[in-house]
Amino acid sequence: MTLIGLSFLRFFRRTPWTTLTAALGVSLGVASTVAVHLISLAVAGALSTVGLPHLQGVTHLAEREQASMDDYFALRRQWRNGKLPDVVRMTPIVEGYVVADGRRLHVFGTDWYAAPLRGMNSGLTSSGLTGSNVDYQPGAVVVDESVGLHAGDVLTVGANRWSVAASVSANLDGGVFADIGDALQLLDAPADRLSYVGVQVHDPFADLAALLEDLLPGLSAALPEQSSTLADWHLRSVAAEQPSVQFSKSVLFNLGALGSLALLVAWFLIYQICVMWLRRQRIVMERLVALGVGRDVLARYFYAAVAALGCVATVVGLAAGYYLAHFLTELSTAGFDSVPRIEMSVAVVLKAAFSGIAVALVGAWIAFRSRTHFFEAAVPGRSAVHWWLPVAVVLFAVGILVPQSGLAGGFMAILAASLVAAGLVAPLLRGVRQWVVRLPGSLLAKLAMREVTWFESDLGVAVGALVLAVATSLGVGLMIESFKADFERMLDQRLAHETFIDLAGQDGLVVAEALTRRFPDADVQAYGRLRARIEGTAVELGFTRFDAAESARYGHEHALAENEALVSESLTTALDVGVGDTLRIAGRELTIVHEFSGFGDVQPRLLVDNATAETLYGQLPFDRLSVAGVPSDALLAWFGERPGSSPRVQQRDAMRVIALEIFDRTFAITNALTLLALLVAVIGLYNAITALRLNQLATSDLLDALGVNRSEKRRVDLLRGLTIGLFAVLLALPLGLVMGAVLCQVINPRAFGWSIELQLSVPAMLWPLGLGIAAAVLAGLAPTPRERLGSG
Amino acid sequence: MSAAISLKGVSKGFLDGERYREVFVDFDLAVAPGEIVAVCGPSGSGKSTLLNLVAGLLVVDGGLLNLRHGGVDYPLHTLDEAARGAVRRRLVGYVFQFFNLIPTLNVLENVRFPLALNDRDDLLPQARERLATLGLADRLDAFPDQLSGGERQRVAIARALAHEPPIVLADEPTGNLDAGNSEQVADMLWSEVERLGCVLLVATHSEAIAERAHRVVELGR
Ligand SMILES: Nc1ncnc2c1ncn2[C@@H]1O[C@H](COP(=O)(O)OP(=O)(O)O)[C@@H](O)[C@H]1O
Ligand SMILES: [Mg+2]
Repeated sequence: MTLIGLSFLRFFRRTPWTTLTAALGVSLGVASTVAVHLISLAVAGALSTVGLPHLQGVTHLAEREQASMDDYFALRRQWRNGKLPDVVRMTPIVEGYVVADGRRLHVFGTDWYAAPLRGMNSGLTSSGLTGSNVDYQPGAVVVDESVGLHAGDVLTVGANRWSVAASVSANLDGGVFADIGDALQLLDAPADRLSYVGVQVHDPFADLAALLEDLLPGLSAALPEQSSTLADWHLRSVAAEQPSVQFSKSVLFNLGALGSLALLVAWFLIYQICVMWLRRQRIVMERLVALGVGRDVLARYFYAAVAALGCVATVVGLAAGYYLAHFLTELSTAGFDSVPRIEMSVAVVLKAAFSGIAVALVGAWIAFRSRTHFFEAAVPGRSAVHWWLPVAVVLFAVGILVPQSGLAGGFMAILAASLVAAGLVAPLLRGVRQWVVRLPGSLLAKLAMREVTWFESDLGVAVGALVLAVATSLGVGLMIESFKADFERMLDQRLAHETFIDLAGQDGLVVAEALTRRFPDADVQAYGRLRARIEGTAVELGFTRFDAAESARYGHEHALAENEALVSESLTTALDVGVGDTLRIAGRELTIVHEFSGFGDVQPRLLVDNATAETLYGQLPFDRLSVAGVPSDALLAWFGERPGSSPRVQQRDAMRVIALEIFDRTFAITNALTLLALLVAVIGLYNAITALRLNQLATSDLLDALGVNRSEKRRVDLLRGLTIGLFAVLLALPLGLVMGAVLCQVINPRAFGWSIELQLSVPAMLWPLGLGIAAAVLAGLAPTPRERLGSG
Repeated sequence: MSAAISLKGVSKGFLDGERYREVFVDFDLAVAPGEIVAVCGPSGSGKSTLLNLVAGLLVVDGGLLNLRHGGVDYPLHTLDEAARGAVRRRLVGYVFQFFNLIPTLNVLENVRFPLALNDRDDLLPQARERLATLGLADRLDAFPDQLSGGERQRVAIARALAHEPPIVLADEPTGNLDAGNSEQVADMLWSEVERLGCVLLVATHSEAIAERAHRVVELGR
C-alpha cells in the first residue's frame, strides 16, 4: 500500500514545476505569518516589561461615584463573608496629582505593606517579565524613570522629603508610587479619600487566553471588552489603564490579520494545485479503485503526500519568515519605539507548522472531496449558490453592525466579504460567458477572451485569489490614503504654531514668563494635560488658552467658554455621548461643543480652557509651549543658556515632515505584506494558466496547423492574461471598496478610536488595479513548462 | 519542378528514448496539382509524419521538400519555422482525426479562422455556401461540443477549404466515424476538393477511401 503513497510522491517529482510553485506559495504564506508573529512577539515582549507597579496582579478596577474608604471596607466585608467568591484579592487605590518643583507628579497609593510594588527592570530583557518586587519601606516611594530620580535620591514635595526606593520604567509620565497613607499625605488629601479598588478576579480561562495571545498576538485587544459589576461597583478591565499597550496590541492584531492574507491566498493555491493533481491522476486512481483499493485509502495517501509537501514548505517558510521579519522591521518600525529583537520560539514553530501543514491539508481535503466524484459519476454543473453564501452575508452584517463584536468582528466581516467574492468568481465566469461571446474583436482576440470564461474550472480559484490580493491591496491602500489625507489636514490645523517646545519636566508657566521677559514680542502659549476620569474611564484632559484661533486648530469656530469642552472621537465612542451632551468630571458638568478626530491619541481626550481646568483641579501643570514671533536660533540659544533639563524644541515644518515620515514608515510594513500576498496570487495564477494551457494543448497544436505564428500566439497569451486581469480587477474593485470602507469606518474606530473618512483617491485605486492586471498579464506570458499530463 | 508537392531523397527520424529511429530513408514523392493521393500503411508507418512534413510542422532531416503554387516554389527544407508557418497558413488546409475545432469558437468562426489569418474575408460567401452544402447551414452558431462527430468532421472540411488552399491534408479524417458517417464525410471532402481542384493528401486505414484516390502511396514499417 505504501506504493500508492510513493506513486503520489513520484507524481510530485514528475510535475516539478507545479510541486515547486505549490511549495513556494505555501512557504511564502508561512513566511508572512511567521514574520508578523516574530515582530509581534518582540513588540509584545517589550510591552509586557512595561507595567504599572501598583497594579501588580490586579485584573480589574472597581469603581463607584464618590467612593470613600468606608465603601471599600464595606466591599471588603462582603468579600470576607464569602459573598464575592470570584475575587482573589483586593486593594484600595488613591490617585492624584501634585506639582513639586515645577514638575507635575502623578501619585498612586496602594496597600504597599500588604502587596509589594513591582519594580520592572528598565529596558528590554530577553525573557520579558523579570521585574523584582520592592519591599515596603515607611516614608519611601517608587518613581517612574521619567521623574529623573534613582534609588537613594530624595524627592521633595512641599515640606516633606521622601526617599526613593526604586526607579522603574512604568511608561507613566511623572509617576510616583507609594503606600496609601504616604500617598494621601503626598496629595494632601483627606484620610478617607479613595479613587477606586484594585481587584484580582479569578478567571478560569486566563491560561487559555494567555495561550491564545501567544498564538495570535494582539488578540486580547481585538476581542470585545466585557464590562461587569461587582456588588454595586462598576468593574473595568485593568487593560484600559495602559492605553498605549492596548493601542500597540491593536496594531499587532491588524498586522497579524494582514500577515495571514498571504496564507489565505496560499490556501487557494494549494487547493487549486490539488485539484489539478487529482485531475491528472484520475486515470490511475480510477484503475486503483477498479482493483479494489478503497477511496479512503487513496485519500489517506494523498493527504500524507500533500502533508509531506506542507512540511517542506513549513521549514522553508520558517527560515524565510525569520529573514522577512528582519527585513520588515528595518523597513518600518510600525509605531514601535525601538527596533524589536527577533527571536524564535516554540509558539512560532508550532504556528508555522500549523499554518503550512494545515493549510496544505485543508486544501487537499476539500479538493479531494469536491473533485473525486468521478468514482461515482460525472458531476453535473454544480449549483452556483452555495449554502455558505447566506452564512457569509450574515457574518458580514454581524461583524459590521454589532460594535460588541469588536476588532475581531470587523475582520470577520472582511473575511466573509472576501470569501463571498472569491466564491463568486467561478459562477460569475460561467455567467458572463454568453456575454463575452458577443464581444467584438478578431477571432484570435475572441479565442483568448472566451478561454477565460470557458475554462473557469482551471482558472476560478486562482482568479479568486488574485481578486482577494488585489482587493486587499486596494482596500488597505485606500484606507492609508484616506488616513493620510485626514492626518495631513489635522497636521495643518494642529501645527499652526511656528515652534513647539516640550519642556521635559520644567514648569511651563515659569518658562513662559521668562520667555516673554526676554522676547517681549513673542506670542507664547502654554499647554498642559492631566489624567482624569469620567464615569470611571481614564481620559486625558488637555488645557490651554482656548481662544478662537486655538479652537480653530480642532475645527471649532469659537473660543471655548467656561465649562465647554472639545472631545475626541474615541471619547464620544467610549462614553456614548455626542455634541450637546454633558460630561461629569470632578463633580462638575462640562458641555461638549465639538468633536475632533484625535488621530494618534492612545486614549480618549477632552480639551478645555485654562479657566475651566483651574476650577476643576486648581493649580495646573503646563508641560509644553508654543512660540511664535521668535527666530528659532535665538530661541534655541536662549534655552541653551538656561540651567536645568534641556527641552525639545521643534519647528512646525520639521514636525510635519517627521510626522509624515513616521506615517509612511508605519504603513511600509502593510504594503510589503499585501505585495507578498499578491506574489502568492501571481504564482497561483501562473499555475492555473499553465493548467489551462496544458488542457488546451490540442487547441495549441491546431493553431500551429492553421499557421498561427508565434507573435500571434503571444498576443493570445497577452490578451488572455489581460482578460483575466480585467475580470479580477472588476471584482476586486467593489470588494476593495468594501474593505476600505470597513477598515475606515469599522476597524479603525474599534482598534484605535478614530474613524477615517474614506476618500476615493484615484491614484490609490489605480496602483493596485494596475498591479493586478500586470500580474495577470505576467502570469499569462510566462513560459509554460511542459509537464507530462499522462498517468503512466 | 511542376509538381505541387515534391519530396526528393527525404529522410526523417525520431529520437525514441535513447535510440534514433528512421521513419523515412531516401523517400521520394511527387504529387501533381489536382491529384488525390491516399497514404496507406499500418500504424506507426509514418503517414502522419509525411503529412506533417508537407505541412511544414516537421522538418526533414535530409533531402528536398518543395511546395509549388502559382508558379512560385516554396522549398520547405530551407525555411525556418516562421516562414514555414506562413506558407502553411496560405497553402495548406488540414483535417485531423479529432480535435479539429477550436472549442471556444462556433462553427462559423472556426470556418472564418483561416480567412481571417489570410485576410481573405472576400471568400466568406463561398465558405458559407460550402457550409450549406455540407448540411451545416442551421448549425453556424453551435459550438464544437454541441456537434456530433460527423458534423465536427464536416466543419473541419469546411474550415480546411475555406481559404481555398492548393493543398489539403487529411489525416484519417473518417477514422473516428461509423461507416455511414464515414462515407458521407468522404463524399463531401471529395466533391469539394474536386470542385476547387486542389491536391488532397489523405492518410487512411480505410480501403474504401483509398479506392477513391487517384493514387495510393503505401508506407511500410
Ligand atoms: N513527435 C514524435 N516524436 C517521436 N517519435 C515520433 C513522433 N512522431 C512520430 N513518431 C514516431 O514516428 C513513427 C511514425 O509515426 P506516425 O507518423 O504517427 O505513424 P502513423 O501516422 O502512420 O501511425 C512512429 O514510430 C512514431 O512513434
Ligand atoms: Mg497517424
